[in-house]
Amino acid sequence: MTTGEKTSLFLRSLLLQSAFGPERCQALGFAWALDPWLVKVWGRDAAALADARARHLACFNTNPYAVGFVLGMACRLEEEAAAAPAAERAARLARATTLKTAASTGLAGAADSFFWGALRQALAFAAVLTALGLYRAGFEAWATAPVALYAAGWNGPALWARWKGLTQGYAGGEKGVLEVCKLPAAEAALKLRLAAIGLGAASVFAALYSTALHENARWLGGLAFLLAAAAPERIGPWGVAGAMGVLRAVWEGGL
Amino acid sequence: MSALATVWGGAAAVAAAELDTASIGPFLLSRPIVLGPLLGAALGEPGRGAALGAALELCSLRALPVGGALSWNAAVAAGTAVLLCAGPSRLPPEGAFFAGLLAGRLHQAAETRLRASRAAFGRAADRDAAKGRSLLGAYLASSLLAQFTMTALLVFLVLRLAQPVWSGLAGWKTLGGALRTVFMVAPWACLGSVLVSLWRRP
Repeated sequence: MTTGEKTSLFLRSLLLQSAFGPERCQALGFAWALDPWLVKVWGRDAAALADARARHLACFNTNPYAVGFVLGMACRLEEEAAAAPAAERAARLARATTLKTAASTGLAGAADSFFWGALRQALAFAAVLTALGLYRAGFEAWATAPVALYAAGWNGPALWARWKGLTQGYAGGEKGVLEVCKLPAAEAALKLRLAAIGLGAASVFAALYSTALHENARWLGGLAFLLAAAAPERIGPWGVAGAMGVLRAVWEGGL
Repeated sequence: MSALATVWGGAAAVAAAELDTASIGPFLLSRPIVLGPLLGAALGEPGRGAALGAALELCSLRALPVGGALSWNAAVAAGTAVLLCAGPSRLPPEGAFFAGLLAGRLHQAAETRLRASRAAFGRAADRDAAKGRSLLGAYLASSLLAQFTMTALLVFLVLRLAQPVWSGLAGWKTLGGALRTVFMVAPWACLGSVLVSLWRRP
Protein backbone atom coordinates (compact mmCIF):
# COMPACT_ATOMS: atom_id res chain seq x y z
CA MET A 1 0.00 0.00 0.00
CA THR A 2 1.49 3.35 -1.04
CA THR A 3 1.39 6.44 1.20
CA GLY A 4 -1.06 8.02 -1.25
CA GLU A 5 -3.43 5.05 -1.00
CA LYS A 6 -3.15 5.05 2.76
CA THR A 7 -3.86 8.79 2.92
CA SER A 8 -6.87 8.35 0.64
CA LEU A 9 -8.24 5.55 2.86
CA PHE A 10 -7.66 7.66 5.96
CA LEU A 11 -9.38 10.74 4.53
CA ARG A 12 -12.30 8.73 3.14
CA SER A 13 -12.73 7.02 6.52
CA LEU A 14 -13.58 10.44 8.00
CA LEU A 15 -16.96 10.17 6.22
CA LEU A 16 -17.63 6.73 7.71
CA GLN A 17 -20.87 7.82 9.37
CA SER A 18 -22.16 10.34 6.85
CA ALA A 19 -24.88 7.95 5.61
CA PHE A 20 -25.46 6.22 8.95
CA GLY A 21 -28.77 4.40 9.16
CA PRO A 22 -30.37 1.85 11.47
CA GLU A 23 -30.36 -0.85 8.76
CA ARG A 24 -26.70 -0.90 7.68
CA CYS A 25 -25.14 1.48 10.23
CA GLN A 26 -21.75 2.61 8.82
CA ALA A 27 -21.65 0.19 5.88
CA LEU A 28 -22.07 2.78 3.11
CA GLY A 29 -19.27 4.96 4.50
CA PHE A 30 -17.02 1.93 4.99
CA ALA A 31 -17.68 0.65 1.48
CA TRP A 32 -16.97 4.11 0.01
CA ALA A 33 -13.68 4.36 1.90
CA LEU A 34 -12.64 0.91 0.67
CA ASP A 35 -13.88 1.24 -2.93
CA PRO A 36 -10.65 2.48 -4.59
CA TRP A 37 -8.78 -0.42 -2.97
CA LEU A 38 -11.37 -2.94 -4.15
CA VAL A 39 -11.07 -1.56 -7.68
CA LYS A 40 -7.29 -1.93 -7.40
CA VAL A 41 -7.29 -5.57 -6.26
CA TRP A 42 -10.37 -6.89 -8.10
CA GLY A 43 -10.53 -4.44 -11.03
CA ARG A 44 -9.56 -6.98 -13.69
CA ASP A 45 -12.52 -9.24 -12.84
CA ALA A 46 -15.85 -7.40 -13.06
CA ALA A 47 -17.86 -10.15 -11.36
CA ALA A 48 -15.39 -10.42 -8.47
CA LEU A 49 -15.42 -6.63 -8.05
CA ALA A 50 -19.23 -6.62 -7.91
CA ASP A 51 -19.12 -9.39 -5.26
CA ALA A 52 -16.52 -7.48 -3.24
CA ARG A 53 -18.60 -4.31 -3.30
CA ALA A 54 -21.71 -6.23 -2.25
CA ARG A 55 -19.81 -7.92 0.64
CA HIS A 56 -18.90 -4.58 2.16
CA LEU A 57 -22.43 -3.20 1.87
CA ALA A 58 -23.62 -5.55 4.63
CA CYS A 59 -24.35 -3.99 8.04
CA PHE A 60 -21.16 -2.72 9.70
CA ASN A 61 -20.70 -0.82 12.95
CA THR A 62 -17.70 0.08 15.06
CA ASN A 63 -16.29 3.02 16.98
CA PRO A 64 -15.26 5.65 14.38
CA TYR A 65 -11.76 5.87 15.89
CA ALA A 66 -11.27 2.11 15.58
CA VAL A 67 -12.21 1.98 11.91
CA GLY A 68 -8.62 2.52 10.73
CA PHE A 69 -7.59 -0.91 11.92
CA VAL A 70 -10.61 -2.66 10.38
CA LEU A 71 -10.06 -0.87 7.07
CA GLY A 72 -6.36 -1.76 7.01
CA MET A 73 -7.12 -5.38 7.82
CA ALA A 74 -9.88 -5.56 5.19
CA CYS A 75 -7.44 -4.20 2.59
CA ARG A 76 -4.87 -6.87 3.43
CA LEU A 77 -7.42 -9.71 3.47
CA GLU A 78 -9.00 -8.63 0.16
CA GLU A 79 -5.55 -8.38 -1.39
CA GLU A 80 -4.59 -11.87 -0.16
CA ALA A 81 -7.87 -13.35 -1.34
CA ALA A 82 -7.42 -11.83 -4.80
CA ALA A 83 -3.90 -13.26 -5.01
CA ALA A 84 -4.94 -16.73 -3.75
CA PRO A 85 -5.72 -19.65 -6.09
CA ALA A 86 -9.38 -19.65 -7.24
CA ALA A 87 -10.13 -22.83 -5.24
CA GLU A 88 -9.16 -21.18 -1.94
CA ARG A 89 -10.81 -17.85 -2.60
CA ALA A 90 -14.32 -18.51 -1.26
CA ALA A 91 -13.02 -19.85 2.06
CA ARG A 92 -10.62 -16.92 2.44
CA LEU A 93 -13.37 -14.40 1.75
CA ALA A 94 -15.73 -16.06 4.22
CA ARG A 95 -12.98 -15.91 6.83
CA ALA A 96 -12.28 -12.25 5.99
CA THR A 97 -15.93 -11.39 6.59
CA THR A 98 -15.90 -13.17 9.97
CA LEU A 99 -12.68 -11.43 10.99
CA LYS A 100 -14.02 -8.04 9.94
CA THR A 101 -17.11 -8.51 12.12
CA ALA A 102 -15.06 -9.80 15.07
CA ALA A 103 -12.51 -6.97 14.86
CA SER A 104 -15.15 -4.26 14.51
CA THR A 105 -17.13 -5.52 17.50
CA GLY A 106 -14.13 -6.15 19.74
CA LEU A 107 -12.43 -2.87 18.98
CA ALA A 108 -15.68 -0.93 19.34
CA GLY A 109 -16.02 -2.00 22.99
CA ALA A 110 -12.47 -0.93 23.87
CA ALA A 111 -12.57 2.32 21.90
CA ASP A 112 -16.03 3.25 23.19
CA SER A 113 -14.97 2.93 26.80
CA PHE A 114 -11.73 4.89 26.17
CA PHE A 115 -12.99 7.69 23.91
CA TRP A 116 -16.69 8.11 24.76
CA GLY A 117 -16.61 6.76 28.32
CA ALA A 118 -13.50 8.47 29.71
CA LEU A 119 -11.56 10.87 27.45
CA ARG A 120 -14.58 13.02 26.56
CA GLN A 121 -15.47 13.54 30.22
CA ALA A 122 -11.86 14.14 31.30
CA LEU A 123 -11.38 16.79 28.62
CA ALA A 124 -14.68 18.51 29.38
CA PHE A 125 -13.80 18.78 33.07
CA ALA A 126 -10.24 19.91 32.24
CA ALA A 127 -11.66 22.62 29.96
CA VAL A 128 -14.09 23.85 32.63
CA LEU A 129 -11.32 23.85 35.22
CA THR A 130 -8.98 25.76 32.91
CA ALA A 131 -11.63 28.36 32.09
CA LEU A 132 -12.39 28.94 35.79
CA GLY A 133 -8.67 29.17 36.60
CA LEU A 134 -7.97 31.64 33.79
CA TYR A 135 -11.00 33.74 34.79
CA ARG A 136 -9.73 33.92 38.37
CA ALA A 137 -6.26 34.87 37.16
CA GLY A 138 -7.79 37.71 35.14
CA PHE A 139 -6.69 36.25 31.79
CA GLU A 140 -8.74 37.95 29.08
CA ALA A 141 -9.06 34.95 26.80
CA TRP A 142 -10.42 32.72 29.61
CA ALA A 143 -13.49 31.78 27.56
CA THR A 144 -11.80 30.68 24.33
CA ALA A 145 -8.43 29.38 25.57
CA PRO A 146 -9.78 25.97 26.74
CA VAL A 147 -11.09 25.31 23.21
CA ALA A 148 -7.54 24.56 22.01
CA LEU A 149 -6.95 22.26 24.98
CA TYR A 150 -10.12 20.30 24.24
CA ALA A 151 -9.59 20.11 20.47
CA ALA A 152 -5.95 19.01 20.76
CA GLY A 153 -6.65 16.65 23.66
CA TRP A 154 -9.30 14.84 21.64
CA ASN A 155 -7.97 14.92 18.11
CA GLY A 156 -4.40 13.98 19.02
CA PRO A 157 -5.28 10.46 20.21
CA ALA A 158 -8.30 10.11 17.91
CA LEU A 159 -6.44 10.83 14.67
CA TRP A 160 -3.41 8.87 15.84
CA ALA A 161 -5.63 5.82 16.54
CA ARG A 162 -7.13 6.03 13.05
CA TRP A 163 -3.79 6.39 11.24
CA LYS A 164 -1.87 3.91 13.38
CA GLY A 165 -4.77 1.45 13.17
CA LEU A 166 -4.75 1.63 9.39
CA THR A 167 -1.01 0.91 9.34
CA GLN A 168 -1.23 -1.93 11.86
CA GLY A 169 -4.32 -3.47 10.32
CA TYR A 170 -2.71 -3.65 6.88
CA ALA A 171 0.67 -4.81 8.19
CA GLY A 172 -0.77 -7.44 10.53
CA GLY A 173 -3.74 -8.64 8.52
CA GLU A 174 -5.33 -11.63 10.23
CA LYS A 175 -2.61 -11.81 12.91
CA GLY A 176 -3.05 -8.11 13.63
CA VAL A 177 -6.34 -8.85 15.42
CA LEU A 178 -4.45 -10.86 18.04
CA GLU A 179 -1.90 -8.07 18.49
CA VAL A 180 -4.63 -5.50 18.98
CA CYS A 181 -6.38 -7.72 21.55
CA LYS A 182 -3.19 -7.59 23.65
CA LEU A 183 -3.27 -3.79 23.89
CA PRO A 184 -4.02 -2.63 27.47
CA ALA A 185 -7.08 -0.64 26.34
CA ALA A 186 -9.21 -1.54 29.37
CA GLU A 187 -6.47 -0.47 31.83
CA ALA A 188 -5.92 2.80 29.94
CA ALA A 189 -9.67 3.52 29.97
CA LEU A 190 -9.85 2.81 33.71
CA LYS A 191 -6.93 5.15 34.48
CA LEU A 192 -8.44 7.85 32.33
CA ARG A 193 -11.82 7.42 34.01
CA LEU A 194 -10.20 7.89 37.43
CA ALA A 195 -8.45 11.00 36.11
CA ALA A 196 -11.83 12.24 34.85
CA ILE A 197 -13.34 11.74 38.30
CA GLY A 198 -10.45 13.73 39.85
CA LEU A 199 -10.82 16.53 37.30
CA GLY A 200 -14.61 16.57 37.80
CA ALA A 201 -14.25 16.84 41.57
CA ALA A 202 -11.66 19.63 41.14
CA SER A 203 -14.10 21.44 38.80
CA VAL A 204 -16.79 21.33 41.50
CA PHE A 205 -14.47 22.87 44.09
CA ALA A 206 -13.19 25.47 41.62
CA ALA A 207 -16.78 26.44 40.72
CA LEU A 208 -17.81 26.61 44.39
CA TYR A 209 -15.05 29.15 45.05
CA SER A 210 -15.22 30.94 41.71
CA THR A 211 -16.11 34.59 41.46
CA ALA A 212 -17.43 33.87 37.95
CA LEU A 213 -20.68 32.58 39.48
CA HIS A 214 -23.18 34.37 41.68
CA GLU A 215 -23.10 33.25 45.32
CA ASN A 216 -26.68 31.87 45.20
CA ALA A 217 -25.86 29.92 42.06
CA ARG A 218 -22.84 28.38 43.75
CA TRP A 219 -24.63 27.18 46.86
CA LEU A 220 -27.80 26.06 45.11
CA GLY A 221 -25.60 24.35 42.52
CA GLY A 222 -23.54 22.63 45.21
CA LEU A 223 -26.77 21.36 46.78
CA ALA A 224 -28.03 20.12 43.40
CA PHE A 225 -24.69 18.37 42.83
CA LEU A 226 -24.98 16.47 46.13
CA LEU A 227 -28.67 15.63 45.64
CA ALA A 228 -28.12 14.35 42.10
CA ALA A 229 -25.11 12.29 43.17
CA ALA A 230 -27.22 10.65 45.89
CA ALA A 231 -30.48 10.38 43.92
CA PRO A 232 -31.62 7.03 42.49
CA GLU A 233 -31.14 6.54 38.75
CA ARG A 234 -34.88 6.81 38.03
CA ILE A 235 -34.95 10.39 39.35
CA GLY A 236 -31.81 11.49 37.55
CA PRO A 237 -30.24 14.96 37.43
CA TRP A 238 -33.16 16.51 35.54
CA GLY A 239 -35.55 15.23 38.19
CA VAL A 240 -33.47 16.93 40.89
CA ALA A 241 -33.16 20.19 38.91
CA GLY A 242 -36.88 20.14 38.09
CA ALA A 243 -37.85 19.56 41.73
CA MET A 244 -35.70 22.51 42.79
CA GLY A 245 -37.40 24.65 40.14
CA VAL A 246 -40.86 23.64 41.41
CA LEU A 247 -39.81 24.42 44.99
CA ARG A 248 -38.68 27.87 43.87
CA ALA A 249 -42.07 28.45 42.18
CA VAL A 250 -43.95 27.33 45.31
CA TRP A 251 -41.70 29.55 47.45
CA GLU A 252 -42.55 32.53 45.24
CA GLY A 253 -46.30 32.03 45.55
CA GLY A 254 -47.25 29.01 43.46
CA LEU A 255 -47.63 28.34 39.78
CA MET B 1 -25.76 42.71 8.39
CA SER B 2 -29.55 42.57 8.85
CA ALA B 3 -31.04 40.57 11.72
CA LEU B 4 -32.57 38.06 9.27
CA ALA B 5 -29.24 37.52 7.54
CA THR B 6 -27.59 37.01 10.93
CA VAL B 7 -30.23 34.41 11.81
CA TRP B 8 -29.76 32.56 8.49
CA GLY B 9 -25.98 32.81 8.75
CA GLY B 10 -26.10 31.56 12.33
CA ALA B 11 -28.39 28.68 11.42
CA ALA B 12 -26.07 27.71 8.54
CA ALA B 13 -23.02 27.90 10.84
CA VAL B 14 -24.69 25.66 13.42
CA ALA B 15 -25.78 23.22 10.69
CA ALA B 16 -22.22 23.06 9.34
CA ALA B 17 -20.83 22.49 12.82
CA GLU B 18 -23.48 19.84 13.50
CA LEU B 19 -22.08 17.68 10.69
CA ASP B 20 -19.11 17.11 13.00
CA THR B 21 -21.39 15.49 15.61
CA ALA B 22 -21.32 12.18 13.72
CA SER B 23 -21.29 12.62 9.94
CA ILE B 24 -17.79 14.02 9.36
CA GLY B 25 -14.91 13.06 11.63
CA PRO B 26 -16.07 13.38 14.36
CA PHE B 27 -13.46 15.89 15.55
CA LEU B 28 -15.66 16.98 18.49
CA LEU B 29 -15.38 20.62 17.47
CA SER B 30 -19.18 20.69 17.68
CA ARG B 31 -19.21 19.89 21.41
CA PRO B 32 -20.89 22.70 23.38
CA ILE B 33 -17.66 23.46 25.27
CA VAL B 34 -15.94 24.22 21.93
CA LEU B 35 -18.82 25.56 19.82
CA GLY B 36 -20.19 27.81 22.60
CA PRO B 37 -17.10 30.01 23.11
CA LEU B 38 -16.29 30.10 19.37
CA LEU B 39 -19.81 31.15 18.36
CA GLY B 40 -19.93 33.59 21.28
CA ALA B 41 -16.61 35.11 20.21
CA ALA B 42 -17.91 35.47 16.64
CA LEU B 43 -20.86 37.44 18.04
CA GLY B 44 -18.64 39.50 20.34
CA GLU B 45 -19.73 37.67 23.53
CA PRO B 46 -17.20 34.91 24.26
CA GLY B 47 -18.08 34.87 27.98
CA ARG B 48 -21.78 34.22 27.36
CA GLY B 49 -20.90 31.61 24.76
CA ALA B 50 -18.52 29.87 27.16
CA ALA B 51 -21.04 29.90 30.04
CA LEU B 52 -23.85 28.42 27.94
CA GLY B 53 -21.44 26.02 26.25
CA ALA B 54 -20.11 24.75 29.58
CA ALA B 55 -23.64 24.38 31.00
CA LEU B 56 -24.85 22.36 27.99
CA GLU B 57 -21.62 20.35 27.88
CA LEU B 58 -22.14 19.18 31.46
CA CYS B 59 -25.83 18.47 30.77
CA SER B 60 -24.99 16.33 27.73
CA LEU B 61 -22.06 14.32 29.12
CA ARG B 62 -24.23 11.44 30.35
CA ALA B 63 -25.32 10.49 26.83
CA LEU B 64 -22.90 8.08 25.16
CA PRO B 65 -23.06 7.97 21.34
CA VAL B 66 -22.44 4.22 21.11
CA GLY B 67 -24.07 1.69 18.80
CA GLY B 68 -25.91 4.37 16.86
CA ALA B 69 -27.69 5.67 19.98
CA LEU B 70 -29.19 9.09 19.36
CA SER B 71 -29.87 11.52 22.21
CA TRP B 72 -30.75 15.23 22.09
CA ASN B 73 -28.26 17.00 19.88
CA ALA B 74 -25.84 18.97 22.07
CA ALA B 75 -24.29 20.87 19.15
CA VAL B 76 -27.67 22.12 17.94
CA ALA B 77 -28.67 22.97 21.52
CA ALA B 78 -25.46 24.94 22.19
CA GLY B 79 -25.44 26.68 18.82
CA THR B 80 -29.08 27.73 19.11
CA ALA B 81 -28.68 28.86 22.73
CA VAL B 82 -25.60 31.00 22.02
CA LEU B 83 -27.18 32.56 18.91
CA LEU B 84 -30.28 33.45 20.92
CA CYS B 85 -28.36 34.83 23.88
CA ALA B 86 -25.52 36.67 22.13
CA GLY B 87 -27.23 37.34 18.77
CA PRO B 88 -29.89 39.89 17.80
CA SER B 89 -32.65 38.25 19.94
CA ARG B 90 -30.76 38.93 23.21
CA LEU B 91 -32.74 36.32 25.08
CA PRO B 92 -31.80 35.95 28.77
CA PRO B 93 -29.46 32.96 29.35
CA GLU B 94 -32.18 30.80 30.90
CA GLY B 95 -34.51 31.40 27.94
CA ALA B 96 -31.73 30.64 25.48
CA PHE B 97 -30.77 27.50 27.44
CA PHE B 98 -34.28 26.01 27.29
CA ALA B 99 -34.81 27.02 23.66
CA GLY B 100 -31.49 25.31 22.88
CA LEU B 101 -32.58 22.15 24.69
CA LEU B 102 -35.84 22.17 22.72
CA ALA B 103 -33.94 22.55 19.45
CA GLY B 104 -31.68 19.65 20.45
CA ARG B 105 -34.70 17.44 21.17
CA LEU B 106 -36.46 18.37 17.92
CA HIS B 107 -33.27 17.61 16.03
CA GLN B 108 -33.09 14.18 17.65
CA ALA B 109 -36.62 13.37 16.42
CA ALA B 110 -35.91 14.70 12.91
CA GLU B 111 -32.58 12.87 12.65
CA THR B 112 -34.19 9.58 13.67
CA ARG B 113 -36.46 9.87 10.63
CA LEU B 114 -33.65 11.03 8.37
CA ARG B 115 -31.50 8.05 9.35
CA ALA B 116 -34.37 5.64 8.69
CA SER B 117 -34.85 7.14 5.23
CA ARG B 118 -31.23 6.26 4.33
CA ALA B 119 -32.22 2.60 3.96
CA ALA B 120 -33.11 3.55 0.36
CA PHE B 121 -29.45 4.40 -0.32
CA GLY B 122 -28.44 0.93 0.89
CA ARG B 123 -30.88 -0.76 -1.50
CA ALA B 124 -29.74 1.48 -4.36
CA ALA B 125 -26.09 0.67 -3.57
CA ASP B 126 -26.91 -3.06 -3.76
CA ARG B 127 -28.43 -2.58 -7.21
CA ASP B 128 -25.44 -0.48 -8.33
CA ALA B 129 -22.97 -3.14 -7.15
CA ALA B 130 -24.85 -5.80 -9.15
CA LYS B 131 -24.62 -3.56 -12.23
CA GLY B 132 -20.89 -3.10 -11.68
CA ARG B 133 -20.91 0.55 -10.71
CA SER B 134 -20.58 2.54 -7.50
CA LEU B 135 -22.45 5.74 -6.72
CA LEU B 136 -21.63 5.68 -3.02
CA GLY B 137 -19.98 9.11 -3.16
CA ALA B 138 -23.23 10.61 -4.45
CA TYR B 139 -25.25 8.89 -1.69
CA LEU B 140 -22.89 10.16 0.98
CA ALA B 141 -23.01 13.69 -0.44
CA SER B 142 -26.84 13.55 -0.55
CA SER B 143 -26.96 12.39 3.07
CA LEU B 144 -24.70 15.24 4.16
CA LEU B 145 -26.74 17.80 2.22
CA ALA B 146 -30.02 16.51 3.70
CA GLN B 147 -28.56 16.57 7.20
CA PHE B 148 -27.24 20.13 6.73
CA THR B 149 -30.54 21.39 5.28
CA MET B 150 -32.65 19.76 7.99
CA THR B 151 -30.49 21.20 10.78
CA ALA B 152 -30.33 24.70 9.26
CA LEU B 153 -34.12 24.86 8.82
CA LEU B 154 -34.78 23.59 12.32
CA VAL B 155 -32.35 26.03 13.95
CA PHE B 156 -33.74 28.89 11.85
CA LEU B 157 -37.30 28.09 12.98
CA VAL B 158 -36.34 27.93 16.66
CA LEU B 159 -34.36 31.18 16.35
CA ARG B 160 -37.36 32.93 14.79
CA LEU B 161 -39.95 31.58 17.23
CA ALA B 162 -38.01 31.70 20.51
CA GLN B 163 -38.17 35.48 21.01
CA PRO B 164 -42.00 35.87 20.71
CA VAL B 165 -42.61 32.71 22.79
CA TRP B 166 -40.25 33.91 25.52
CA SER B 167 -41.86 37.37 25.51
CA GLY B 168 -45.24 35.68 26.00
CA LEU B 169 -43.94 33.72 28.97
CA ALA B 170 -42.18 36.71 30.54
CA GLY B 171 -45.38 37.86 32.27
CA TRP B 172 -45.55 34.62 34.20
CA LYS B 173 -43.08 35.55 36.93
CA THR B 174 -43.14 32.37 39.02
CA LEU B 175 -42.45 30.32 35.88
CA GLY B 176 -39.52 32.59 35.08
CA GLY B 177 -38.11 32.07 38.58
CA ALA B 178 -38.52 28.31 38.33
CA LEU B 179 -36.82 28.18 34.92
CA ARG B 180 -33.95 30.35 36.19
CA THR B 181 -33.47 27.92 39.08
CA VAL B 182 -33.48 24.87 36.83
CA PHE B 183 -31.00 26.60 34.48
CA MET B 184 -28.78 27.46 37.45
CA VAL B 185 -28.73 23.99 39.03
CA ALA B 186 -29.10 21.56 36.07
CA PRO B 187 -25.39 21.61 35.04
CA TRP B 188 -24.37 20.93 38.66
CA ALA B 189 -26.88 18.12 39.02
CA CYS B 190 -25.71 16.60 35.72
CA LEU B 191 -22.09 16.89 36.86
CA GLY B 192 -22.94 15.02 40.08
CA SER B 193 -24.73 12.32 38.13
CA VAL B 194 -21.86 11.94 35.61
CA LEU B 195 -19.25 11.60 38.36
CA VAL B 196 -21.30 8.90 40.10
CA SER B 197 -21.77 6.99 36.84
CA LEU B 198 -18.02 7.22 36.11
CA TRP B 199 -17.31 5.84 39.57
CA ARG B 200 -19.85 3.00 39.41
CA ARG B 201 -19.12 1.80 35.86
CA PRO B 202 -17.48 -1.65 35.92
